[in-house]
Amino acid sequence: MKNNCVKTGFILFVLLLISCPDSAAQKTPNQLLLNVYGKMMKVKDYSVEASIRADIPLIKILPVNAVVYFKQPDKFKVDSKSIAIMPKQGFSDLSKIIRDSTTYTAFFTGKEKIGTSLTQIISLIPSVDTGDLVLAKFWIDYARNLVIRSQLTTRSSGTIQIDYFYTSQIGYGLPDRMIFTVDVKKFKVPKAIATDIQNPQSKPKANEKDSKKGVIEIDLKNYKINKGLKDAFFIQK
Amino acid sequence: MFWKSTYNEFIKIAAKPRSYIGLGAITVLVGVILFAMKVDGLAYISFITASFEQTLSFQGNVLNGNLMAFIVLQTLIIQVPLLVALVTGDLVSGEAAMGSLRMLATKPISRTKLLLSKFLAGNIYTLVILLWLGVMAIGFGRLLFGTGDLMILKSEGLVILQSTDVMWRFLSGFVIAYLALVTIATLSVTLSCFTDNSIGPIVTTMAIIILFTIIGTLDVPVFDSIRPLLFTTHMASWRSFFDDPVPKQQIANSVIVLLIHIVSLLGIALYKFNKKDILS
Amino acid sequence: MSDKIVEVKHLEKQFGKIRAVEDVSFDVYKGDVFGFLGPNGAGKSTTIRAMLSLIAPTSGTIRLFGKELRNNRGFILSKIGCIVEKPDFYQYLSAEKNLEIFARISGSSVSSSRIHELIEFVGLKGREKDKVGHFSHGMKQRLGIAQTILHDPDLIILDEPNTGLDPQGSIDIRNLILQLKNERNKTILLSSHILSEIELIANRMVIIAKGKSIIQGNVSELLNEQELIVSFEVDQPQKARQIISTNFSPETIGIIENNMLQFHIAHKDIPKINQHLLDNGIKVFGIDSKRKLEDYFLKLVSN
Repeated sequence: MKNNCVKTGFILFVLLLISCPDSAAQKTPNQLLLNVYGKMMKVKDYSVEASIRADIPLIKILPVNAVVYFKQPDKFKVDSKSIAIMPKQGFSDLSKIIRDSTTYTAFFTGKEKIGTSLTQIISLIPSVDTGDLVLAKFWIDYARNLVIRSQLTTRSSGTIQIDYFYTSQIGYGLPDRMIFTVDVKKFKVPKAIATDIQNPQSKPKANEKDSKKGVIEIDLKNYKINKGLKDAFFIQK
Repeated sequence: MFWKSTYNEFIKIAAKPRSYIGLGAITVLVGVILFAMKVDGLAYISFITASFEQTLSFQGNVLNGNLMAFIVLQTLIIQVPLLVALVTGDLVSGEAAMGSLRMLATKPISRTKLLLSKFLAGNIYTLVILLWLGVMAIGFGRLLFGTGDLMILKSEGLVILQSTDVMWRFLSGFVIAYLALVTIATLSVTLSCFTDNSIGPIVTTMAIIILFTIIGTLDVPVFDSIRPLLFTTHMASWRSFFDDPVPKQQIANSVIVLLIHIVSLLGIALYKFNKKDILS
Repeated sequence: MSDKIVEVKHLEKQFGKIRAVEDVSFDVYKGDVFGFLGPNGAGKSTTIRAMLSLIAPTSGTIRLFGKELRNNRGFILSKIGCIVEKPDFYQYLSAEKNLEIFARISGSSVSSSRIHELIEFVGLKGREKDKVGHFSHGMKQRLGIAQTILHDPDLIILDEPNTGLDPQGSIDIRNLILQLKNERNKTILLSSHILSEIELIANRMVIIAKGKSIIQGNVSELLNEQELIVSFEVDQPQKARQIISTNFSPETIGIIENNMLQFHIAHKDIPKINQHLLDNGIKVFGIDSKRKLEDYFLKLVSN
C-alpha cells in the first residue's frame, strides 16, 4: 500500500514537472519555435493601420500612415498615399523562417530579460548555406509564446533587429509596436544624378556619415483579423 | 504710349515663327521624358534607391507626377535659357537687321520707353515659356502618373517631401526660375543693343552661360571669389525650395544677385540704346 | 514770309575719323516741297537721320517747328512722317497690321477707318490682309507713304523715294507726293540724287556735296532758263570766238576739244549767234545747251 502511494506520488510529480510552464529548459528550441508558430497560425490574414516613423541616415522623411495587409503564408501589401519606408525583412517573414524545422538547426544561446519578459534566446542556422539568410536569433517569451525580439543577418542587407511590443492583440501574437534597427553601412548616394551635384558647397553632414544604424518605428492599431482577404487583392498592378 | 508699344512688341513676338520653336521644343522634350519614364521609370527609381533597396522597400506611388515634374524641370531648365534667348536676343538686333528699327526710332516714343517695352514683352514671352513648361511637367505628369510624395536625391541623401507639401515649393521654385530666365533675357536684350545682326546676341548669350557655368562648377580655389557673383551660380536656386529645411537666406542671396544683374544689364542696355546711332 | 518749319544750321556729323557731314545749312518753309539734292555720298541721308534723331550730330543745330530737336524730340516727331532710305516693314505681318503697329506709337489716335482710307489712297485696297513679305518694292514704297501720313503730320520727309522703282512706279510716287502737297497742304522734304526728279515737283531746294551745302533757293531761279551754257561745234573756233565776243560779250568763251566753243548766254540769243556765225562764213556742225546749275550738278555727280 505504502509502495503504491509512493509510486503514484512519483508519477504525479513527474507529470507536474512536465506540465509546469517554467520547465522551458526541458523544451527543445524546435518545440519552442513550434509553439510560437502555432500561435502565429491562428491568424490567417489581417489588415492593420500603421504609423511609420523612419530615422535613417541619408534619408529625410516625415512620419506617414499606411495600411498593412497580410495573408498566410507570405502575402504582404502596403497601401499608402505617401511614400512609406518599410524594412525589407522582418515584418511578415518570421513565420516563413520558422515553419519548417528541417530547413534549419536551432539551439539555445542564452536567456535575457527584456522589459518584463523573461526570454529564451534561440539561434537558428539555415541548413542550406546558399540562401540569403545567414543567421536568425529569436528572443522568445516562452511563458506566452511570443517573439519579443528577433535579429536576422542576411548576405544582402546585413543585420536587422526587430523589437516587438504587445498589448491589444497579444492573444494572436500580433504586436502593437515594432522597432526595426537596420544596418546602413552599405547605403550610398549615386552622385551622378544627385540634384545638387553642381553645388560645390553641398557636402554630406559629418554626423550622418558616421552613423551606421537606422531605426524604423511602426505603431499598429485597429487590427482586422481573419476577415478573409482574397489572394487577388495582393497582386500588384 | 509705353503700354501700346509693349502691346506692339508682343504682337510681333507672337507673329514670329521662331517664337513657337520654344513652345514646340518644350512640348516634344517633355513628351519624350514622360514617355521614357512611363516605360522605364521604375528602373530609373531603382537606380536611385539601389543601395537602400537591399535593406528597405519604398511603398506607395514613388513614380508620380510630382517626381516627373521635378525630373522634367531639372532636365529642361538648362535648355530653356536658349529657347528664351532665341527670341529676346532678336528684339533689338533683329529689328536693326530688318530695318524696322529705323522706322520705330523715328516715332515720338522715347528710346527708353521703346527698349523697356521690348524688355517687358520679352519677359512676358519668357513667362509664357515657363508656364507652358510648368503645365506640361506638372499637369501632364500628374495626368499620367498621379500624385504622391516627391523623392529627391541630393548629395546628402534622399529627401522625401509629402505631396501636400510640394505644390508651394514648385510655385516658389518657378518664381526663382523665372527670375533666372529674366536675367538671361536681359543679358540677351543688352547684347542685342550692341549689334545689328540677329544671331550674334543669341550665340553670345549662350557662350556666356556656358563659360560661367563651367567656372561655377570647376571646384578650384582660384574661382572661389567670383563664383558667388556669377548669375549662373544662382540660376539653380529654384531647387533650394526642395530642401528641408528651405535655406531662406541662400535663396534671398540668389534673388539679390539676380536682381542686381537684371538692373545693371538693363542700365547698360538703356545707355547704349539711347546713345546708339541708328544706321541700319 | 511763310513759317519756317525746318532750320538746319552748320550741321556736322563725324563717324570716327570719317566726316560724313561737314557744314550743312538750309531752311524749309511751310507749304514747301523742298528738294534735298546731292550726289551719292554727299551726306543727304546722314542729314535726314540727324533731323529725325536717328543719329546724334557732332555739332550744329536742328530746329523743327520752332523748337530744338534735342529737347523736344517727342513733340517734333509727332508732327513728322518719314521714309528713310526705304520703308522696312514687318514681313511676317499684313499691311494692315503693320500700319496698326506704327499708328499706335505715332503720337495720335489713328482709327481703323483711317488706316483703310490710307490703304485705298495709296492704291493698295484689297491687299491689306496680305503679308508685306509678298509685296513688290513699289507696293512697299506706297505702303511707306501711307505709313508717313497715318497721323496726319505737318512735315513729310522722303529720302530717295524713287529708289529701285520702275518708271511707272516713279510716276505713281510722284503723283502721290503732288496729291499730298496740293490736296492735303503738306510740307514735304524730298531727297534725291536726280535733278530732274526734284525739278518736277519741288519749289525750293538745296544742293549738297561732300558734306557741305553748296547752294539753296527757289528751283525756278536756280534752274534759270535764261542763263545757259551753250556749246557750238564749228570749223574755225578761233574766228568764231572773235565774232561772238565782239558782238555778244559773254563772260568767257572757252574752246574745248579743238572745235567746240562753250560760253554762257541767254536762251533767246542762240539763234542770233548761229546766224552771225553763218553770215561770217563759219560752219556750225552742232549746238548744245544746258542750264548752268544742271551742268554744275552733273559734274558733281560724275565726280
